[in-house]
Amino acid sequence: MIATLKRLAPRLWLLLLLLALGIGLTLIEQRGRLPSPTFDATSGGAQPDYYLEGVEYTRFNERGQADQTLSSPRIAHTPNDDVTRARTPRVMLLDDDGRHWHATGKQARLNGTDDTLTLAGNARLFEPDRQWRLETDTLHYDRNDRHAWSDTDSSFHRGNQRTRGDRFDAWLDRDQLIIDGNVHGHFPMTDQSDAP
Amino acid sequence: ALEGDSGKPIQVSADRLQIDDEAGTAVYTGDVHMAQGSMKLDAATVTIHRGNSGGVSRVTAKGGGGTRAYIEQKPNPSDPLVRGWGNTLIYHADERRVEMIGNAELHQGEDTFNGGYVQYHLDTRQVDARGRQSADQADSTSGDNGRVHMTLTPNSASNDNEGSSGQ
Repeated sequence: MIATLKRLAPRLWLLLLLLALGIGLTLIEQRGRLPSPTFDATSGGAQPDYYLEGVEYTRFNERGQADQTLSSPRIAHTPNDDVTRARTPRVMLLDDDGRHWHATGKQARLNGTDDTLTLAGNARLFEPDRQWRLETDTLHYDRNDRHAWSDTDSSFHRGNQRTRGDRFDAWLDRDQLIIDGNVHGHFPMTDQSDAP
Repeated sequence: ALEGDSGKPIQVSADRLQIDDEAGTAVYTGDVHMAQGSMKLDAATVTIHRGNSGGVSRVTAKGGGGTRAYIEQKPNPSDPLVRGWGNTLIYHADERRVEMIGNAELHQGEDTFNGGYVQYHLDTRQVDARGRQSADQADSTSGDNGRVHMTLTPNSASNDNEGSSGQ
Protein backbone atom coordinates (compact mmCIF):
# COMPACT_ATOMS: atom_id res chain seq x y z
CA MET A 1 0.00 0.00 0.00
CA ILE A 2 2.82 2.40 0.97
CA ALA A 3 4.79 1.42 -2.18
CA THR A 4 1.78 2.31 -4.30
CA LEU A 5 1.38 5.74 -2.68
CA LYS A 6 5.10 6.43 -3.31
CA ARG A 7 4.73 5.68 -6.96
CA LEU A 8 1.80 8.24 -7.36
CA ALA A 9 2.97 11.20 -9.45
CA PRO A 10 3.61 14.46 -7.55
CA ARG A 11 0.99 16.08 -9.74
CA LEU A 12 -1.71 13.80 -8.33
CA TRP A 13 -0.61 14.77 -4.78
CA LEU A 14 -0.96 18.39 -5.71
CA LEU A 15 -4.48 17.77 -7.04
CA LEU A 16 -5.53 15.99 -3.82
CA LEU A 17 -4.10 18.87 -1.76
CA LEU A 18 -6.02 21.44 -3.82
CA LEU A 19 -9.25 19.46 -3.42
CA ALA A 20 -8.82 19.27 0.37
CA LEU A 21 -8.10 23.02 0.50
CA GLY A 22 -11.25 23.78 -1.55
CA ILE A 23 -13.49 21.70 0.69
CA GLY A 24 -12.03 23.34 3.78
CA LEU A 25 -12.59 26.84 2.46
CA THR A 26 -16.18 26.01 1.43
CA LEU A 27 -16.95 24.76 4.91
CA ILE A 28 -15.45 27.84 6.47
CA GLU A 29 -17.38 30.12 4.10
CA GLN A 30 -20.65 28.22 4.80
CA ARG A 31 -20.29 28.63 8.50
CA GLY A 32 -21.52 32.17 8.33
CA ARG A 33 -24.82 30.88 6.94
CA LEU A 34 -25.32 27.86 9.16
CA PRO A 35 -28.59 28.25 11.11
CA SER A 36 -27.56 30.07 14.30
CA PRO A 37 -29.68 29.21 17.34
CA THR A 38 -32.83 31.07 16.09
CA PHE A 39 -35.58 31.85 18.56
CA ASP A 40 -37.69 28.71 17.66
CA ALA A 41 -41.47 29.01 16.94
CA THR A 42 -41.93 32.46 18.43
CA SER A 43 -39.61 34.21 16.02
CA GLY A 44 -41.86 33.24 13.14
CA GLY A 45 -38.92 32.61 10.95
CA ALA A 46 -37.86 36.28 10.91
CA GLN A 47 -34.41 37.08 12.24
CA PRO A 48 -34.59 38.84 15.65
CA ASP A 49 -32.34 41.82 16.23
CA TYR A 50 -32.31 40.99 19.93
CA TYR A 51 -33.73 38.54 22.42
CA LEU A 52 -33.90 38.63 26.20
CA GLU A 53 -34.36 35.97 28.81
CA GLY A 54 -36.14 36.15 32.15
CA VAL A 55 -37.97 39.35 31.26
CA GLU A 56 -40.30 41.65 33.25
CA TYR A 57 -41.53 44.32 30.84
CA THR A 58 -43.57 47.19 32.33
CA ARG A 59 -45.41 50.03 30.62
CA PHE A 60 -46.82 53.12 32.30
CA ASN A 61 -49.90 55.18 31.52
CA GLU A 62 -50.07 58.97 31.42
CA ARG A 63 -50.62 59.02 35.20
CA GLY A 64 -47.43 57.11 35.81
CA GLN A 65 -49.22 53.91 36.79
CA ALA A 66 -47.90 50.55 35.65
CA ASP A 67 -50.87 49.68 33.48
CA GLN A 68 -49.36 46.78 31.50
CA THR A 69 -46.69 44.35 32.55
CA LEU A 70 -45.48 41.24 30.77
CA SER A 71 -43.16 38.63 32.18
CA SER A 72 -41.73 35.84 30.08
CA PRO A 73 -38.85 33.40 30.17
CA ARG A 74 -37.80 34.59 26.72
CA ILE A 75 -38.76 37.35 24.29
CA ALA A 76 -37.43 38.25 20.84
CA HIS A 77 -37.88 41.42 18.80
CA THR A 78 -37.94 41.36 14.99
CA PRO A 79 -37.10 44.72 13.35
CA ASN A 80 -38.81 44.10 10.03
CA ASP A 81 -42.30 44.15 11.58
CA ASP A 82 -41.46 45.75 14.97
CA VAL A 83 -43.06 42.80 16.76
CA THR A 84 -41.91 41.47 20.11
CA ARG A 85 -42.70 37.81 20.63
CA ALA A 86 -42.80 36.23 24.07
CA ARG A 87 -42.93 32.64 25.16
CA THR A 88 -45.46 31.55 27.88
CA PRO A 89 -46.16 35.17 28.82
CA ARG A 90 -47.90 36.36 32.01
CA VAL A 91 -49.58 39.70 31.40
CA MET A 92 -51.13 42.11 33.92
CA LEU A 93 -53.48 44.87 32.78
CA LEU A 94 -54.73 47.68 35.00
CA ASP A 95 -58.16 49.25 34.40
CA ASP A 96 -59.46 52.69 35.37
CA ASP A 97 -61.09 51.33 38.52
CA GLY A 98 -57.72 50.02 39.67
CA ARG A 99 -58.66 46.40 39.05
CA HIS A 100 -55.95 44.03 37.81
CA TRP A 101 -56.70 41.71 34.93
CA HIS A 102 -54.36 38.76 34.40
CA ALA A 103 -53.79 37.18 31.00
CA THR A 104 -51.74 34.16 29.95
CA GLY A 105 -51.17 32.12 26.81
CA LYS A 106 -48.62 29.94 25.06
CA GLN A 107 -47.22 32.86 23.07
CA ALA A 108 -47.65 36.61 22.94
CA ARG A 109 -47.07 39.11 20.15
CA LEU A 110 -46.68 42.76 21.07
CA ASN A 111 -47.14 44.88 17.99
CA GLY A 112 -45.13 48.06 18.35
CA THR A 113 -46.86 49.94 15.56
CA ASP A 114 -50.46 49.76 16.76
CA ASP A 115 -50.03 48.99 20.47
CA THR A 116 -51.89 45.70 20.37
CA LEU A 117 -51.12 42.45 22.11
CA THR A 118 -52.16 38.97 20.93
CA LEU A 119 -52.08 35.92 23.15
CA ALA A 120 -52.20 32.71 21.15
CA GLY A 121 -52.74 29.18 22.43
CA ASN A 122 -54.89 28.48 25.51
CA ALA A 123 -55.41 32.17 26.12
CA ARG A 124 -56.90 33.08 29.51
CA LEU A 125 -58.13 36.41 30.89
CA PHE A 126 -58.95 36.59 34.59
CA GLU A 127 -60.33 39.44 36.75
CA PRO A 128 -60.21 38.23 40.36
CA ASP A 129 -62.37 40.94 42.00
CA ARG A 130 -65.52 39.82 40.21
CA GLN A 131 -64.35 36.27 39.49
CA TRP A 132 -64.56 36.91 35.75
CA ARG A 133 -62.60 34.40 33.74
CA LEU A 134 -62.41 33.94 29.95
CA GLU A 135 -61.07 30.81 28.30
CA THR A 136 -60.39 30.90 24.58
CA ASP A 137 -57.68 30.05 22.05
CA THR A 138 -56.58 33.48 20.85
CA LEU A 139 -57.11 36.73 22.71
CA HIS A 140 -56.38 40.22 21.38
CA TYR A 141 -55.93 43.37 23.44
CA ASP A 142 -55.81 46.96 22.24
CA ARG A 143 -54.17 49.18 24.81
CA ASN A 144 -55.56 52.34 23.23
CA ASP A 145 -59.16 51.69 24.23
CA ARG A 146 -58.49 48.83 26.67
CA HIS A 147 -60.53 46.51 24.52
CA ALA A 148 -59.98 42.74 24.82
CA TRP A 149 -61.61 40.50 22.21
CA SER A 150 -61.55 37.01 20.82
CA ASP A 151 -62.85 35.62 17.55
CA THR A 152 -62.37 32.03 18.65
CA ASP A 153 -64.73 29.86 20.74
CA SER A 154 -64.97 31.56 24.10
CA SER A 155 -66.11 30.32 27.49
CA PHE A 156 -66.85 33.06 30.01
CA HIS A 157 -67.03 32.07 33.67
CA ARG A 158 -68.35 34.18 36.52
CA GLY A 159 -68.00 32.32 39.77
CA ASN A 160 -69.78 29.03 39.12
CA GLN A 161 -71.72 30.36 36.13
CA ARG A 162 -70.52 29.84 32.58
CA THR A 163 -71.56 31.12 29.18
CA ARG A 164 -70.06 30.10 25.91
CA GLY A 165 -70.18 31.85 22.56
CA ASP A 166 -68.40 32.12 19.24
CA ARG A 167 -66.91 35.56 19.97
CA PHE A 168 -66.09 37.67 22.99
CA ASP A 169 -65.57 41.40 23.60
CA ALA A 170 -64.76 43.19 26.83
CA TRP A 171 -63.99 46.84 27.55
CA LEU A 172 -61.96 46.82 30.72
CA ASP A 173 -62.86 50.38 31.68
CA ARG A 174 -66.52 50.21 30.83
CA ASP A 175 -67.59 47.12 32.84
CA GLN A 176 -69.21 45.80 29.69
CA LEU A 177 -68.77 42.58 27.82
CA ILE A 178 -70.47 40.93 24.88
CA ILE A 179 -70.65 37.25 24.01
CA ASP A 180 -71.87 36.73 20.50
CA GLY A 181 -72.97 33.77 18.37
CA ASN A 182 -74.54 30.54 19.55
CA VAL A 183 -74.69 31.69 23.19
CA HIS A 184 -75.38 29.05 25.84
CA GLY A 185 -75.43 29.89 29.56
CA HIS A 186 -75.53 27.61 32.58
CA PHE A 187 -76.29 29.13 35.98
CA PRO A 188 -76.37 26.78 38.97
CA MET A 189 -78.53 28.28 41.73
CA THR A 190 -76.56 27.56 44.88
CA ASP A 191 -78.23 30.71 46.29
CA GLN A 192 -80.03 33.79 44.87
CA SER A 193 -76.83 35.72 44.40
CA ASP A 194 -75.73 33.18 41.87
CA ALA A 195 -78.43 33.99 39.35
CA PRO A 196 -77.24 35.20 35.86
CA ALA B 1 -93.89 26.15 40.79
CA LEU B 2 -92.78 22.59 41.07
CA GLU B 3 -90.95 21.71 44.26
CA GLY B 4 -87.26 22.52 43.78
CA ASP B 5 -87.74 24.50 40.56
CA SER B 6 -86.11 27.58 42.02
CA GLY B 7 -83.10 25.56 43.08
CA LYS B 8 -82.56 24.10 39.61
CA PRO B 9 -79.86 25.63 37.36
CA ILE B 10 -80.99 28.17 34.80
CA GLN B 11 -80.13 27.32 31.21
CA VAL B 12 -80.17 30.09 28.61
CA SER B 13 -79.53 30.06 24.89
CA ALA B 14 -79.56 33.08 22.55
CA ASP B 15 -77.70 34.68 19.68
CA ARG B 16 -76.00 37.30 21.83
CA LEU B 17 -75.40 38.31 25.43
CA GLN B 18 -74.41 41.78 26.61
CA ILE B 19 -73.44 42.21 30.27
CA ASP B 20 -73.27 45.69 31.79
CA ASP B 21 -71.91 45.21 35.28
CA GLU B 22 -72.36 48.85 36.20
CA ALA B 23 -76.05 48.87 35.23
CA GLY B 24 -76.47 45.37 36.70
CA THR B 25 -78.06 43.97 33.57
CA ALA B 26 -77.53 41.00 31.30
CA VAL B 27 -79.37 41.36 27.98
CA TYR B 28 -79.90 38.29 25.81
CA THR B 29 -81.07 38.91 22.26
CA GLY B 30 -82.04 36.73 19.30
CA ASP B 31 -84.21 33.59 19.68
CA VAL B 32 -83.86 33.51 23.47
CA HIS B 33 -84.81 30.36 25.37
CA MET B 34 -84.56 30.24 29.14
CA ALA B 35 -85.46 27.31 31.38
CA GLN B 36 -85.36 26.61 35.11
CA GLY B 37 -86.93 23.35 36.14
CA SER B 38 -90.50 23.37 34.82
CA MET B 39 -90.47 27.09 34.01
CA LYS B 40 -89.68 27.96 30.41
CA LEU B 41 -89.47 31.34 28.71
CA ASP B 42 -89.15 32.12 24.99
CA ALA B 43 -88.69 35.67 23.68
CA ALA B 44 -86.80 37.85 21.22
CA THR B 45 -85.09 39.80 24.01
CA VAL B 46 -84.63 38.98 27.69
CA THR B 47 -83.16 41.47 30.14
CA ILE B 48 -82.10 40.19 33.53
CA HIS B 49 -81.86 42.87 36.21
CA ARG B 50 -79.65 42.09 39.22
CA GLY B 51 -80.78 43.29 42.63
CA ASN B 52 -78.54 44.81 45.29
CA SER B 53 -77.90 41.35 46.71
CA GLY B 54 -76.51 40.36 43.33
CA GLY B 55 -79.32 37.93 42.63
CA VAL B 56 -82.04 38.28 39.98
CA SER B 57 -84.61 40.91 40.90
CA ARG B 58 -86.52 41.12 37.63
CA VAL B 59 -86.61 39.42 34.21
CA THR B 60 -88.17 41.39 31.33
CA ALA B 61 -88.95 39.44 28.17
CA LYS B 62 -90.14 41.07 24.94
CA GLY B 63 -91.56 39.43 21.86
CA GLY B 64 -90.47 40.44 18.40
CA GLY B 65 -91.18 39.91 14.72
CA GLY B 66 -94.88 39.50 15.37
CA THR B 67 -94.34 36.85 18.03
CA ARG B 68 -95.27 37.49 21.64
CA ALA B 69 -93.07 36.47 24.52
CA TYR B 70 -94.15 33.15 26.05
CA ILE B 71 -93.84 31.61 29.50
CA GLU B 72 -94.96 28.28 30.86
CA GLN B 73 -94.73 26.63 34.22
CA LYS B 74 -96.09 23.53 35.98
CA PRO B 75 -97.59 24.54 39.32
CA ASN B 76 -97.88 20.99 40.57
CA PRO B 77 -97.09 17.52 39.27
CA SER B 78 -100.80 16.78 39.08
CA ASP B 79 -101.79 20.14 37.57
CA PRO B 80 -101.76 21.10 33.89
CA LEU B 81 -99.20 23.61 32.61
CA VAL B 82 -99.93 27.30 33.12
CA ARG B 83 -99.07 29.14 29.92
CA GLY B 84 -98.85 32.89 29.36
CA TRP B 85 -98.24 35.23 26.39
CA GLY B 86 -97.73 38.95 26.07
CA ASN B 87 -95.91 41.56 24.05
CA THR B 88 -93.93 42.03 27.25
CA LEU B 89 -93.58 39.66 30.18
CA ILE B 90 -92.11 40.81 33.48
CA TYR B 91 -91.17 38.24 36.10
CA HIS B 92 -90.70 39.71 39.60
CA ALA B 93 -88.42 37.25 41.40
CA ASP B 94 -89.04 38.42 44.97
CA GLU B 95 -92.83 38.57 44.71
CA ARG B 96 -92.89 35.55 42.39
CA ARG B 97 -95.43 37.05 40.03
CA VAL B 98 -95.51 37.44 36.26
CA GLU B 99 -97.03 40.41 34.46
CA MET B 100 -98.23 39.92 30.87
CA ILE B 101 -98.54 43.30 29.21
CA GLY B 102 -100.07 44.01 25.78
CA ASN B 103 -101.98 41.32 23.93
CA ALA B 104 -101.93 39.41 27.19
CA GLU B 105 -103.22 35.86 27.45
CA LEU B 106 -103.10 33.21 30.15
CA HIS B 107 -104.18 29.58 30.03
CA GLN B 108 -104.63 27.93 33.39
CA GLY B 109 -105.75 24.44 32.60
CA GLU B 110 -109.06 24.84 30.76
CA ASP B 111 -109.53 28.46 31.87
CA THR B 112 -108.30 31.29 29.66
CA PHE B 113 -107.87 35.00 30.31
CA ASN B 114 -107.33 37.63 27.58
CA GLY B 115 -106.89 41.36 27.90
CA GLY B 116 -104.47 44.24 27.79
CA TYR B 117 -102.93 43.12 31.05
CA VAL B 118 -102.88 39.84 32.96
CA GLN B 119 -100.98 39.12 36.12
CA TYR B 120 -100.31 35.65 37.56
CA HIS B 121 -99.05 34.93 41.10
CA LEU B 122 -96.93 31.77 40.96
CA ASP B 123 -97.46 30.59 44.51
CA THR B 124 -101.13 31.47 45.07
CA ARG B 125 -102.00 30.90 41.38
CA GLN B 126 -104.17 34.02 41.59
CA VAL B 127 -104.92 35.73 38.26
CA ASP B 128 -105.63 39.47 37.86
CA ALA B 129 -106.74 40.63 34.43
CA ARG B 130 -107.45 44.08 33.04
CA GLY B 131 -108.76 45.27 29.69
CA ARG B 132 -106.22 48.00 29.33
CA GLN B 133 -102.45 47.48 29.41
CA SER B 134 -102.04 50.00 32.17
CA ALA B 135 -104.45 51.84 34.45
CA ASP B 136 -103.94 55.16 32.68
CA GLN B 137 -104.02 53.85 29.14
CA ALA B 138 -106.93 54.96 26.91
CA ASP B 139 -109.37 52.23 25.84
CA SER B 140 -108.66 52.58 22.16
CA THR B 141 -105.01 51.68 22.40
CA SER B 142 -105.48 48.42 24.29
CA GLY B 143 -107.24 46.92 21.28
CA ASP B 144 -109.98 44.41 21.57
CA ASN B 145 -112.40 47.10 22.93
CA GLY B 146 -110.48 47.37 26.23
CA ARG B 147 -112.30 44.56 27.95
CA VAL B 148 -111.24 41.34 29.62
CA HIS B 149 -112.32 38.03 28.15
CA MET B 150 -112.37 35.00 30.39
CA THR B 151 -113.38 31.44 29.72
CA LEU B 152 -113.85 29.54 32.94
CA THR B 153 -114.56 25.85 32.53
CA PRO B 154 -116.75 24.44 35.29
CA ASN B 155 -115.05 21.60 36.94
CA SER B 156 -117.48 18.99 38.20
CA ALA B 157 -114.93 17.34 40.47
CA SER B 158 -113.60 20.25 42.49
CA ASN B 159 -113.88 23.98 42.59
CA ASP B 160 -110.36 24.97 41.49
CA ASN B 161 -111.16 28.43 40.24
CA GLU B 162 -110.50 30.07 43.64
CA GLY B 163 -108.79 33.46 43.63
CA SER B 164 -109.60 34.47 40.00
CA SER B 165 -110.60 38.10 39.78
CA GLY B 166 -111.16 40.31 36.74
CA GLN B 167 -111.58 44.05 36.54
